[in-house]
Amino acid sequence: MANDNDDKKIGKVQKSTTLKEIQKAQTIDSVRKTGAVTGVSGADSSKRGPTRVMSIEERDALLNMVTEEAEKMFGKSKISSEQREAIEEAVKITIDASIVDEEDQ
Amino acid sequence: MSKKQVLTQEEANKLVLEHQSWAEAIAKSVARGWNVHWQSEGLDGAAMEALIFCSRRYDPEMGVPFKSYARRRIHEASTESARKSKGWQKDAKTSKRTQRLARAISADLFEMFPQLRSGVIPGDDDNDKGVRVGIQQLLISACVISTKHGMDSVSPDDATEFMNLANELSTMEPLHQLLMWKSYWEGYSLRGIASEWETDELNVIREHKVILTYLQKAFATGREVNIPRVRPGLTDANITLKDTEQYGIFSKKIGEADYGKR
Repeated sequence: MANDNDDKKIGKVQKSTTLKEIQKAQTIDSVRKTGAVTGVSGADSSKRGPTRVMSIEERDALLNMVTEEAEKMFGKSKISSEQREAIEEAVKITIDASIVDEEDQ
Repeated sequence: MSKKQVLTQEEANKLVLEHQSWAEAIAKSVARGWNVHWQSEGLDGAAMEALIFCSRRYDPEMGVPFKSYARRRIHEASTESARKSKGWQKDAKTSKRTQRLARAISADLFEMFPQLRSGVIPGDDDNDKGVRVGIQQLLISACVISTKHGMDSVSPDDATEFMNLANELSTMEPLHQLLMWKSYWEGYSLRGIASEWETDELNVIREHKVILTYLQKAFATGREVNIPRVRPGLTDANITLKDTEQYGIFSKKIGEADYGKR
């Protein structure tokens, strides 16, 4: 296997240049006032978070995505149709068992 | 030693009452996904027990909302109860092989991706592309798990249909083969593997993701894909392994299987 850290020889080490002067920090003229907070917008409901509750419609869209991605991934592969069916079903029931319906709460 | 209760009894009971229907909804979602009855199979009771347990240990000072704190444990209790239920055991004998296999894979997926218990699909981004990447990871991970279950449960002749992925795994670096073997076949957590290899947990988590991406590409394109290299953070573990093992675990298994056929 190739080594990530190929050896690189160091030919010559140059002298470090002397630091002649340290410039003074410029004075801060003024600090602007922060504007008043006019309002806080609601959280974006399209974002998923640990406590995100998905609706039936979203769940169906996710399950359709599983079918599409399984076709892309296993369409050209040599795995048997039985194994593919089990894999696709497994991912679908896992997602289904992960999401909590709004109406159940 | 048990953890000291933080909330008063009254406050904890109030949390339970407020979240009872939510805990039941989690039990119902597990029952729906795995096709078992949420009440007659005892998922409701398991979820309630977990809710009460969490209410007694919840500390609002941690700054974590109660639902985020309790959801994983309630989900875990519900899935454990479902797996012990009569419905699950009965179906294990009577249902179609693919259905049995699907449920067994699903149970393992929750171990591999614990964030699913919190309703979070793996993946880096929250947009459509990120969700699709997460689904791809779940599919390829399910494929590895199906290989394990398939190889374990069918006759040697039928096992060949599950060997495609094992063949793909056998082409990888021995360390990558070992990572997949330990996590999928021996049930190690990625954190446990990191601890054994004396490395940061993130090295193993990221390496697992790289392996899944490689396998996914190999499957999707049907062509030969460059095998991933071992990341620098795992170099020590790689050197130690190469000192003792010349071949990867899947290479050896496939070699043994080929020898047995002769």
